[in-house]
Amino acid sequence: MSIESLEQLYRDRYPRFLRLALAIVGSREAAADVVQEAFARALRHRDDFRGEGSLESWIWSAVINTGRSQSKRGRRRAELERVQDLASNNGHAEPWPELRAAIAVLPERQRQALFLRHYADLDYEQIGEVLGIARGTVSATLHAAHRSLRGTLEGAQT
Amino acid sequence: MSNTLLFEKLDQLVDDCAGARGDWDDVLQRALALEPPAPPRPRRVRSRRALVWAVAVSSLVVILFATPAFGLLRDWIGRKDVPFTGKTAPLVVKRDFADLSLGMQEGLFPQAIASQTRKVGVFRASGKNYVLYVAPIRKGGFCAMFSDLSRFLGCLETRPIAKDYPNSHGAVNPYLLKVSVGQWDVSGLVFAKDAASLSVEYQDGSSEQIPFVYVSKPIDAGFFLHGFRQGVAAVSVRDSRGKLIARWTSDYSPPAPEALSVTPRYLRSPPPLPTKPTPPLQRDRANGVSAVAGKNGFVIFDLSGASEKVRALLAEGASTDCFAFTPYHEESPAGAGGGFNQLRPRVVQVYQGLATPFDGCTIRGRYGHRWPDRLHSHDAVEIAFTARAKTYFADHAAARDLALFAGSNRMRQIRRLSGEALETAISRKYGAAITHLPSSVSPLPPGRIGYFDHAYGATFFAGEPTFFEYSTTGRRFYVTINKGKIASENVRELTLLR
Repeated sequence: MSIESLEQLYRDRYPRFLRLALAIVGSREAAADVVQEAFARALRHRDDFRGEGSLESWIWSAVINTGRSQSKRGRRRAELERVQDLASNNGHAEPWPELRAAIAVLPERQRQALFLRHYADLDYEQIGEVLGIARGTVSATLHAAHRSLRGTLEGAQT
Repeated sequence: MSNTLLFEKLDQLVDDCAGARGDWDDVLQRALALEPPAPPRPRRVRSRRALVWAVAVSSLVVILFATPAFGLLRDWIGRKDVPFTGKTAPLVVKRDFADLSLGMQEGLFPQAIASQTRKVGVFRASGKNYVLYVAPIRKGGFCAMFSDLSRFLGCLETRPIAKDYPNSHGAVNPYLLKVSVGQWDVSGLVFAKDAASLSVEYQDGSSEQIPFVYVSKPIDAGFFLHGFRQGVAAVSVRDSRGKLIARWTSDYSPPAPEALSVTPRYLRSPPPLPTKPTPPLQRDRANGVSAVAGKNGFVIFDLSGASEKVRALLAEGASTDCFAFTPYHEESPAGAGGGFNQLRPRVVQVYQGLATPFDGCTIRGRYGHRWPDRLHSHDAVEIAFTARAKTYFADHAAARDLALFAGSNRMRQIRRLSGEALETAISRKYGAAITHLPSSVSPLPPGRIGYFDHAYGATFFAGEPTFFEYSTTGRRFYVTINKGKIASENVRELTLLR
């Protein structure tokens, strides 16, 4: 893998990487930091890329992992608590707090698949490659996530 | 609920980040700054004998810590080694380090690698704890500051003076020690690798050992902060055998560093200021004012065609700021400022330390902002070189409008109310200017302020009105009040809110 190919990917897809990171960490600045850090690590460890999947999938994984690490460092925890507070507050501070809260409590894999589908705009094949699962599993995972979110929102409306 | 509706909501939940651009150079620099991947560590087999030793040493440590004399021992040791690894500092701290170059003259940028900022110690002085953060800089060296920003220790590119000094000036090297004496404390840096103890001597002849941390490479320096009750006369650094290796005294001036063979960059004369903008040029025009910005940060504002309204707003002087969205400034851009006291047809500014190309510039009149603000909370002149700057101007104006309203003296009285009392008070004071919304998702035209009072939605949340304003970009700003105070909001990043 060449540095040029990484740079090309960065320039071509930056808004999508940023959006995925934003979905994970919740703030634009933290998201930008995640993308920068993910690419820096990918660049540094580019020899570890074995070419088993596509380079793009490898980078999507790096963004997810870096975002998760950042979340674990506490920032996301605070954000999550804020989201949950807003939800319990009848959520009039942010749009669709019920939806935010419902996403926050989804199982990890469902949430990642959801983010990759809706914010990274990946197809099922690519999502499977990033998460290391079969296409059919992606379909089932997303179906479960959507059903769960719809249920929560319908419950909130009644 | 259909999937289509769910997908629409999901889409609107996270900003689409369209138009965001990254900073590949920053990626490269971060990659360079990262530690190389560690080779696989050979597995160690702990023998029974090693285990016995480990238990014995652990027991000794426990005994020492439990002994009252340990306090003395610790003070005598003085030095605590801190590896420069592990988790990095919070984003707000990294941003402070990234901002160190703002306004600095070209050639003197410290170029701190903000992404590598780390907490290296906590010091107590004058009854307060101060967290020390350190970041390496690109050409070797570091920047250091305490959590209290007024206690900025500084940036040192390299330590050529310290290395050079012994060749010409003997063994006790004053450049291995940098001391700053405040009113109530003494702080500083130690560059002697073999420093084992640090002592402060006071003007009454007394002295004491003080603790310091020594941070590993790439920082490779020691740091200290210590409170005192009387004047400091000297600070000394000794090695583990008690040999004096560096000393600073309040009445001694070491030889000028310029006299030494190597002059660090921070002591060199800065390059002359540019005299004209260099290409590629950026141009834009707003309210009859045009701006041309060069790659070198040189900006020419032509106000000769400014409208009468703008002239009136800027008559008593103005600040001229340019800004750019950079890493750590994705939401609220990094800016550098200038200004003028008298309106002139042509104003020239050089903004250094701020990444180019700029996203935009503003000219802001020196008048107080009150709600309803002039120009609906926009600045007198808003020059947008990029689409992102246009979005920022729109969002900033909406956020400021809402913040000015929610923070106004009149509203600070009214916002304590809820239910009918709130509705009556708002209606009486503002008439139709503020819209009472039946729900939090009711439509509201951009530029208007509306509010939804939970007292009408759920009695449990009575007394928590939320005020909204939409930007022309579609972004929604809100301020939620609880018992008269701001409970949550999303405007603070873009404006000031009381």
